[in-house]
Amino acid sequence: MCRQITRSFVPGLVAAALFAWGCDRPAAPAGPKPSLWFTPGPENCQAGPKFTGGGRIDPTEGKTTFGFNVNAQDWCSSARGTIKGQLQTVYHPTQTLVHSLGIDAFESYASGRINRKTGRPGQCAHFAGPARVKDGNGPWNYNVRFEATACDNGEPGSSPGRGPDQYGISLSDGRSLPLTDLTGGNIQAHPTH
Amino acid sequence: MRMSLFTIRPAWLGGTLWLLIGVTAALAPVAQAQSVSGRAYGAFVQSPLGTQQSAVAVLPAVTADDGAMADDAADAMSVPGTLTTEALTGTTSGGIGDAAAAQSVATVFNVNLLNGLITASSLTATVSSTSDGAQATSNALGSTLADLVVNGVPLTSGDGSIAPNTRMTLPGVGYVVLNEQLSSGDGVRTSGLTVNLIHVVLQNALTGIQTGEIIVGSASSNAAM
Repeated sequence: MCRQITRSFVPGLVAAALFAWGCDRPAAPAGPKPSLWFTPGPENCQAGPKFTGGGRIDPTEGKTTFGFNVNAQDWCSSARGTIKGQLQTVYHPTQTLVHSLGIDAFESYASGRINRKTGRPGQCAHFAGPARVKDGNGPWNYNVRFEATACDNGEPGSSPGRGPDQYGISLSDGRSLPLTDLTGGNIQAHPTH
Repeated sequence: MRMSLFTIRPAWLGGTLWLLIGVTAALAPVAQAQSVSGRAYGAFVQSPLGTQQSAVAVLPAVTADDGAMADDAADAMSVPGTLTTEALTGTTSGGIGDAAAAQSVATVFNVNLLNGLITASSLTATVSSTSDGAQATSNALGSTLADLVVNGVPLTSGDGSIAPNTRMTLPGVGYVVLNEQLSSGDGVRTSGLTVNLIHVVLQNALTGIQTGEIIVGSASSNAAM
Protein backbone atom coordinates (compact mmCIF):
# COMPACT_ATOMS: atom_id res chain seq x y z
CA MET A 1 0.00 0.00 0.00
CA CYS A 2 1.38 3.39 -0.94
CA ARG A 3 0.08 6.41 0.85
CA GLN A 4 0.26 9.95 -0.37
CA ILE A 5 2.23 12.45 1.64
CA THR A 6 2.04 16.18 1.23
CA ARG A 7 5.59 17.22 0.43
CA SER A 8 5.41 20.87 1.29
CA PHE A 9 6.85 20.36 4.75
CA VAL A 10 9.37 17.67 3.78
CA PRO A 11 12.12 19.18 1.64
CA GLY A 12 14.48 17.57 -0.81
CA LEU A 13 15.99 14.16 -0.30
CA VAL A 14 14.23 13.64 2.99
CA ALA A 15 10.91 13.90 1.20
CA ALA A 16 11.98 11.31 -1.34
CA ALA A 17 13.23 8.98 1.37
CA LEU A 18 10.11 9.41 3.43
CA PHE A 19 7.89 8.84 0.43
CA ALA A 20 9.70 5.62 -0.49
CA TRP A 21 9.66 4.47 3.12
CA GLY A 22 5.94 5.17 3.32
CA CYS A 23 5.38 2.92 0.32
CA ASP A 24 7.55 0.09 1.60
CA ARG A 25 6.29 -0.42 5.07
CA PRO A 26 3.18 -2.44 5.74
CA ALA A 27 -0.07 -0.65 6.18
CA ALA A 28 -1.17 0.00 9.72
CA PRO A 29 -4.14 -2.18 10.68
CA ALA A 30 -6.60 0.65 10.85
CA GLY A 31 -9.77 1.88 9.30
CA PRO A 32 -10.08 3.72 6.01
CA LYS A 33 -8.12 6.93 5.75
CA PRO A 34 -8.52 9.96 3.54
CA SER A 35 -6.47 9.90 0.38
CA LEU A 36 -4.73 13.11 1.40
CA TRP A 37 -3.50 12.76 4.93
CA PHE A 38 -0.95 14.80 6.79
CA THR A 39 -2.95 17.80 5.71
CA PRO A 40 -4.38 20.16 8.32
CA GLY A 41 -8.08 20.26 8.86
CA PRO A 42 -10.83 18.50 10.75
CA GLU A 43 -11.42 15.91 8.02
CA ASN A 44 -8.08 14.32 8.92
CA CYS A 45 -8.61 14.35 12.65
CA GLN A 46 -11.61 12.07 12.87
CA ALA A 47 -10.39 10.40 16.08
CA GLY A 48 -9.55 13.61 17.90
CA PRO A 49 -6.59 15.96 18.11
CA LYS A 50 -4.94 15.01 21.40
CA PHE A 51 -3.12 11.86 22.46
CA THR A 52 -0.68 10.97 25.19
CA GLY A 53 1.05 7.71 25.86
CA GLY A 54 3.98 5.84 27.22
CA GLY A 55 5.08 2.30 27.80
CA ARG A 56 6.72 -0.61 26.15
CA ILE A 57 6.42 -2.82 23.10
CA ASP A 58 8.25 -6.09 22.35
CA PRO A 59 8.21 -6.60 18.60
CA THR A 60 10.44 -9.25 17.08
CA GLU A 61 12.92 -6.48 16.31
CA GLY A 62 13.51 -5.90 20.03
CA LYS A 63 12.28 -4.27 23.18
CA THR A 64 11.35 -0.62 22.85
CA THR A 65 10.12 1.90 25.38
CA PHE A 66 8.54 5.25 24.61
CA GLY A 67 6.61 8.28 25.79
CA PHE A 68 4.86 11.02 23.88
CA ASN A 69 2.34 13.83 23.99
CA VAL A 70 0.77 15.34 20.89
CA ASN A 71 -1.77 18.15 20.76
CA ALA A 72 -2.91 18.98 17.23
CA GLN A 73 -5.96 21.01 18.17
CA ASP A 74 -4.86 24.03 16.12
CA TRP A 75 -3.73 21.83 13.21
CA CYS A 76 -7.05 20.04 13.19
CA SER A 77 -9.14 23.19 13.31
CA SER A 78 -7.47 25.24 10.60
CA ALA A 79 -5.39 24.96 7.49
CA ARG A 80 -2.31 26.53 9.05
CA GLY A 81 -2.37 25.23 12.57
CA THR A 82 0.64 24.16 14.52
CA ILE A 83 1.16 21.00 16.54
CA LYS A 84 2.44 20.86 20.10
CA GLY A 85 4.10 17.92 21.72
CA GLN A 86 7.12 15.70 21.83
CA LEU A 87 8.21 12.09 21.68
CA GLN A 88 11.00 9.97 23.08
CA THR A 89 11.67 6.38 22.14
CA VAL A 90 14.42 3.98 23.27
CA TYR A 91 15.23 0.94 21.16
CA HIS A 92 16.97 -1.32 23.66
CA PRO A 93 19.06 -3.75 21.55
CA THR A 94 21.28 -0.91 20.30
CA GLN A 95 20.46 1.61 23.04
CA THR A 96 19.13 3.89 20.33
CA LEU A 97 17.54 7.07 21.61
CA VAL A 98 15.07 8.96 19.42
CA HIS A 99 13.99 12.40 20.55
CA SER A 100 11.65 14.58 18.55
CA LEU A 101 12.66 18.11 17.60
CA GLY A 102 9.10 19.02 16.66
CA ILE A 103 5.91 17.57 15.27
CA ASP A 104 4.81 18.93 11.90
CA ALA A 105 2.26 16.43 10.64
CA PHE A 106 -0.71 14.71 12.24
CA GLU A 107 -3.76 12.68 11.44
CA SER A 108 -6.12 10.60 13.53
CA TYR A 109 -8.53 7.92 12.50
CA ALA A 110 -10.56 4.99 13.76
CA SER A 111 -8.58 1.94 14.75
CA GLY A 112 -9.24 -1.46 13.28
CA ARG A 113 -9.93 -2.71 16.81
CA ILE A 114 -13.04 -2.30 18.89
CA ASN A 115 -12.77 -0.77 22.34
CA ARG A 116 -14.49 -3.37 24.53
CA LYS A 117 -15.61 -0.79 27.04
CA THR A 118 -17.24 1.62 24.61
CA GLY A 119 -18.17 -0.81 21.85
CA ARG A 120 -16.77 1.69 19.36
CA PRO A 121 -13.59 1.51 17.29
CA GLY A 122 -10.40 2.56 19.01
CA GLN A 123 -8.59 5.75 18.08
CA CYS A 124 -5.25 6.09 16.33
CA ALA A 125 -2.88 9.03 16.02
CA HIS A 126 -0.29 9.17 13.28
CA PHE A 127 2.24 11.94 13.55
CA ALA A 128 5.66 12.86 12.25
CA GLY A 129 8.45 15.36 12.54
CA PRO A 130 12.18 15.97 12.73
CA ALA A 131 14.17 14.14 15.37
CA ARG A 132 17.64 13.66 16.76
CA VAL A 133 18.83 10.09 17.05
CA LYS A 134 21.87 8.45 18.59
CA ASP A 135 23.01 4.87 19.06
CA GLY A 136 24.56 4.14 22.43
CA ASN A 137 26.99 6.88 23.33
CA GLY A 138 27.52 7.83 19.71
CA PRO A 139 26.94 11.32 18.35
CA TRP A 140 23.50 12.76 17.75
CA ASN A 141 22.25 12.63 14.19
CA TYR A 142 19.99 15.61 13.60
CA ASN A 143 19.11 14.75 10.00
CA VAL A 144 16.36 12.26 10.74
CA ARG A 145 12.60 12.27 10.62
CA PHE A 146 10.34 10.05 12.67
CA GLU A 147 6.85 8.80 11.95
CA ALA A 148 4.89 7.26 14.83
CA THR A 149 1.52 5.60 15.17
CA ALA A 150 -0.24 5.10 18.50
CA CYS A 151 -3.66 3.55 19.00
CA ASP A 152 -5.90 3.76 22.06
CA ASN A 153 -8.01 0.61 21.89
CA GLY A 154 -9.19 0.41 25.50
CA GLU A 155 -8.31 0.63 29.17
CA PRO A 156 -5.95 -0.39 30.65
CA GLY A 157 -3.73 -0.11 27.63
CA SER A 158 -1.60 -3.15 28.34
CA SER A 159 -3.80 -5.59 30.18
CA PRO A 160 -3.67 -8.53 30.70
CA GLY A 161 -0.12 -8.10 29.53
CA ARG A 162 -0.29 -7.44 25.82
CA GLY A 163 -2.48 -4.90 24.09
CA PRO A 164 -5.04 -3.71 23.36
CA ASP A 165 -3.20 -0.41 22.78
CA GLN A 166 -0.53 -0.25 20.08
CA TYR A 167 2.57 1.72 19.15
CA GLY A 168 4.98 1.73 16.23
CA ILE A 169 7.66 4.04 14.90
CA SER A 170 9.75 4.42 11.76
CA LEU A 171 12.76 6.57 10.99
CA SER A 172 13.73 8.11 7.69
CA ASP A 173 17.08 6.26 7.87
CA GLY A 174 15.18 3.07 7.11
CA ARG A 175 14.71 1.64 10.59
CA SER A 176 11.16 0.68 11.44
CA LEU A 177 9.15 -0.99 14.18
CA PRO A 178 5.67 -2.13 13.16
CA LEU A 179 2.52 -1.21 15.02
CA THR A 180 2.76 -3.56 18.01
CA ASP A 181 0.64 -4.38 21.05
CA LEU A 182 1.81 -2.72 24.23
CA THR A 183 3.36 -4.97 26.88
CA GLY A 184 3.29 -2.14 29.39
CA GLY A 185 1.94 1.37 29.68
CA ASN A 186 -1.00 3.05 28.01
CA ILE A 187 -2.11 5.17 25.05
CA GLN A 188 -4.82 7.72 25.81
CA ALA A 189 -6.89 9.65 23.29
CA HIS A 190 -8.29 12.83 24.76
CA PRO A 191 -11.37 13.96 22.88
CA THR A 192 -12.27 17.63 22.76
CA HIS A 193 -15.57 18.50 24.36
CA MET B 1 -39.58 44.99 64.96
CA ARG B 2 -41.98 42.14 64.50
CA MET B 3 -42.21 40.20 61.32
CA SER B 4 -45.08 38.05 60.28
CA LEU B 5 -44.61 34.44 59.37
CA PHE B 6 -45.46 35.36 55.81
CA THR B 7 -42.49 37.71 55.56
CA ILE B 8 -40.06 35.56 57.50
CA ARG B 9 -40.44 32.37 55.49
CA PRO B 10 -39.13 33.68 52.11
CA ALA B 11 -36.16 35.25 53.84
CA TRP B 12 -35.40 32.02 55.69
CA LEU B 13 -35.71 30.01 52.50
CA GLY B 14 -33.48 32.44 50.68
CA GLY B 15 -30.83 32.18 53.34
CA THR B 16 -31.00 28.40 53.28
CA LEU B 17 -30.68 28.43 49.51
CA TRP B 18 -27.58 30.59 49.65
CA LEU B 19 -26.15 28.35 52.33
CA LEU B 20 -26.69 25.30 50.15
CA ILE B 21 -25.12 27.04 47.17
CA GLY B 22 -22.14 27.96 49.32
CA VAL B 23 -21.70 24.42 50.59
CA THR B 24 -22.04 23.02 47.08
CA ALA B 25 -19.49 25.46 45.74
CA ALA B 26 -17.11 24.62 48.54
CA LEU B 27 -17.39 20.91 47.85
CA ALA B 28 -17.32 21.16 44.07
CA PRO B 29 -13.53 21.39 43.62
CA VAL B 30 -13.10 18.29 45.72
CA ALA B 31 -15.75 16.29 43.89
CA GLN B 32 -14.62 17.35 40.41
CA ALA B 33 -10.87 17.43 40.89
CA GLN B 34 -9.11 16.04 37.85
CA SER B 35 -5.40 15.61 37.92
CA VAL B 36 -2.52 13.52 36.70
CA SER B 37 1.05 13.36 37.85
CA GLY B 38 4.06 11.34 36.93
CA ARG B 39 7.74 10.98 37.60
CA ALA B 40 10.54 8.78 36.34
CA TYR B 41 14.25 8.63 36.92
CA GLY B 42 17.14 6.39 36.14
CA ALA B 43 19.00 6.32 39.44
CA PHE B 44 19.18 7.97 42.84
CA VAL B 45 21.95 7.67 45.39
CA GLN B 46 21.80 9.12 48.89
CA SER B 47 24.73 8.69 51.22
CA PRO B 48 26.54 10.68 53.92
CA LEU B 49 28.55 12.17 51.07
CA GLY B 50 25.51 13.66 49.39
CA THR B 51 22.70 12.96 46.96
CA GLN B 52 22.89 12.32 43.24
CA GLN B 53 20.09 11.65 40.77
CA SER B 54 20.13 11.10 37.02
CA ALA B 55 17.68 11.20 34.11
CA VAL B 56 14.86 12.80 36.08
CA ALA B 57 11.54 13.53 34.38
CA VAL B 58 8.67 15.16 36.27
CA LEU B 59 5.32 15.70 34.61
CA PRO B 60 4.42 19.40 34.58
CA ALA B 61 0.95 20.60 35.52
CA VAL B 62 -1.70 19.21 33.17
CA THR B 63 -4.99 20.97 32.50
CA ALA B 64 -8.11 19.52 30.96
CA ASP B 65 -7.25 21.37 27.75
CA ASP B 66 -3.79 20.04 27.26
CA GLY B 67 -1.57 17.04 27.82
CA ALA B 68 2.05 17.14 28.80
CA MET B 69 5.24 15.16 28.73
CA ALA B 70 8.68 15.39 30.29
CA ASP B 71 11.79 13.37 29.61
CA ASP B 72 15.45 13.27 30.43
CA ALA B 73 18.41 11.12 29.50
CA ALA B 74 22.03 10.66 30.49
CA ASP B 75 24.86 8.70 28.89
CA ALA B 76 25.98 7.23 32.19
CA MET B 77 26.10 7.66 35.95
CA SER B 78 28.95 6.87 38.32
CA VAL B 79 29.22 7.13 42.07
CA PRO B 80 32.52 5.41 42.94
CA GLY B 81 32.10 2.28 45.02
CA THR B 82 28.32 2.66 44.94
CA LEU B 83 26.89 2.68 41.44
CA THR B 84 27.85 2.67 37.79
CA THR B 85 25.46 2.50 34.85
CA GLU B 86 25.41 3.12 31.16
CA ALA B 87 22.54 5.03 29.48
CA LEU B 88 19.63 6.17 31.66
CA THR B 89 16.30 7.62 30.57
CA GLY B 90 13.14 8.86 32.23
CA THR B 91 9.89 9.66 30.44
CA THR B 92 6.49 10.64 31.82
CA SER B 93 3.33 11.82 30.08
CA GLY B 94 -0.27 12.46 30.97
CA GLY B 95 -3.52 14.03 29.89
CA ILE B 96 -7.11 14.58 30.95
CA GLY B 97 -10.15 13.94 28.79
CA ASP B 98 -12.95 11.43 29.22
CA ALA B 99 -10.45 9.79 31.54
CA ALA B 100 -7.35 10.98 33.31
CA ALA B 101 -4.25 9.01 32.40
CA ALA B 102 -0.57 9.16 33.27
CA GLN B 103 2.24 6.82 32.37
CA SER B 104 5.95 6.80 33.16
CA VAL B 105 8.93 4.81 31.96
CA ALA B 106 12.50 4.58 33.25
CA THR B 107 15.28 2.61 31.59
CA VAL B 108 18.83 1.92 32.74
CA PHE B 109 21.50 -0.15 31.02
CA ASN B 110 24.38 -2.18 32.52
CA VAL B 111 23.83 -1.57 36.19
CA ASN B 112 26.56 -2.35 38.73
CA LEU B 113 25.89 -1.60 42.40
CA LEU B 114 28.30 -1.81 45.33
CA ASN B 115 31.24 -3.18 43.35
CA GLY B 116 29.33 -6.03 41.73
CA LEU B 117 27.10 -7.01 44.64
CA ILE B 118 24.09 -6.37 42.37
CA THR B 119 24.30 -6.33 38.57
CA ALA B 120 21.79 -6.24 35.73
CA SER B 121 22.14 -5.80 31.99
CA SER B 122 19.08 -3.54 31.84
CA LEU B 123 16.13 -2.33 33.88
CA THR B 124 12.77 -1.22 32.52
CA ALA B 125 10.26 0.36 34.90
CA THR B 126 6.83 0.97 33.36
CA VAL B 127 3.76 2.21 35.22
CA SER B 128 0.43 3.61 34.12
CA SER B 129 -2.61 4.96 35.94
CA THR B 130 -6.07 5.76 34.61
CA SER B 131 -9.28 7.01 36.15
CA ASP B 132 -12.66 7.73 34.62
CA GLY B 133 -14.28 8.76 37.88
CA ALA B 134 -15.99 5.40 38.36
CA GLN B 135 -12.93 3.18 38.30
CA ALA B 136 -9.29 3.99 38.83
CA THR B 137 -6.47 1.53 38.25
CA SER B 138 -2.71 1.39 38.05
CA ASN B 139 -0.32 -1.30 36.93
CA ALA B 140 3.36 -1.96 36.45
CA LEU B 141 3.07 -4.29 33.48
CA GLY B 142 6.21 -4.39 31.41
CA SER B 143 8.55 -3.75 34.33
CA THR B 144 11.52 -6.09 34.04
CA LEU B 145 15.04 -6.63 35.30
CA ALA B 146 17.33 -8.30 32.77
CA ASP B 147 20.13 -10.67 33.80
CA LEU B 148 19.80 -9.69 37.43
CA VAL B 149 22.38 -11.09 39.82
CA VAL B 150 22.24 -10.36 43.57
CA ASN B 151 25.12 -11.38 45.81
CA GLY B 152 26.25 -13.95 43.25
CA VAL B 153 22.79 -15.46 42.75
CA PRO B 154 21.30 -15.14 39.25
CA LEU B 155 17.62 -14.18 39.57
CA THR B 156 16.69 -13.55 35.94
CA SER B 157 18.11 -14.77 32.66
CA GLY B 158 17.45 -12.35 29.88
CA ASP B 159 14.52 -10.03 30.40
CA GLY B 160 12.60 -11.26 33.44
CA SER B 161 10.29 -10.11 36.16
CA ILE B 162 10.60 -10.42 39.91
CA ALA B 163 7.68 -10.77 42.33
CA PRO B 164 6.67 -7.38 43.72
CA ASN B 165 8.39 -6.30 46.94
CA THR B 166 10.95 -9.12 47.03
CA ARG B 167 13.30 -8.39 49.92
CA MET B 168 16.80 -9.85 50.23
CA THR B 169 19.40 -9.32 52.93
CA LEU B 170 22.77 -8.00 51.87
CA PRO B 171 25.16 -9.06 54.66
CA GLY B 172 27.23 -6.17 55.96
CA VAL B 173 25.43 -3.72 53.70
CA GLY B 174 21.71 -3.72 54.53
CA TYR B 175 18.98 -5.08 52.34
CA VAL B 176 17.48 -4.72 48.87
CA VAL B 177 13.85 -4.61 47.79
CA LEU B 178 13.41 -5.75 44.19
CA ASN B 179 10.44 -4.56 42.13
CA GLU B 180 9.27 -2.44 45.03
CA GLN B 181 5.68 -1.36 44.39
CA LEU B 182 3.97 1.37 46.40
CA SER B 183 0.32 1.95 45.54
CA SER B 184 -2.09 4.71 46.50
CA GLY B 185 -5.63 5.88 45.78
CA ASP B 186 -9.16 4.69 46.47
CA GLY B 187 -9.58 2.63 43.29
CA VAL B 188 -12.66 4.60 42.31
CA ARG B 189 -11.58 8.15 41.61
CA THR B 190 -7.88 7.98 42.29
CA SER B 191 -5.08 5.55 41.69
CA GLY B 192 -1.31 5.76 41.83
CA LEU B 193 1.67 3.47 41.71
CA THR B 194 5.41 3.81 42.19
CA VAL B 195 7.80 1.11 41.06
CA ASN B 196 11.42 1.06 42.23
CA LEU B 197 13.06 -1.86 40.47
CA ILE B 198 16.11 -1.96 42.74
CA HIS B 199 15.94 -0.24 46.12
CA VAL B 200 18.97 -0.80 48.34
CA VAL B 201 18.81 0.39 51.93
CA LEU B 202 22.29 0.91 53.35
CA GLN B 203 22.57 0.23 57.08
CA ASN B 204 25.22 0.56 59.73
CA ALA B 205 26.43 -2.99 60.29
CA LEU B 206 26.47 -2.58 64.07
CA THR B 207 23.43 -0.46 64.81
CA GLY B 208 21.22 -1.21 61.85
CA ILE B 209 20.56 2.48 61.43
CA GLN B 210 19.97 3.52 57.84
CA THR B 211 22.94 5.36 56.43
CA GLY B 212 21.80 5.80 52.85
CA GLU B 213 19.87 4.33 49.96
CA ILE B 214 20.18 3.56 46.27
CA ILE B 215 17.22 3.41 43.90
CA VAL B 216 17.66 2.36 40.28
CA GLY B 217 14.83 2.33 37.74
CA SER B 218 11.97 4.28 39.26
CA ALA B 219 8.64 5.22 37.67
CA SER B 220 5.50 6.73 39.22
CA SER B 221 2.07 7.66 37.92
CA ASN B 222 -1.13 9.01 39.48
CA ALA B 223 -4.54 9.75 38.01
CA ALA B 224 -7.64 11.30 39.60
CA MET B 225 -11.01 12.06 38.04
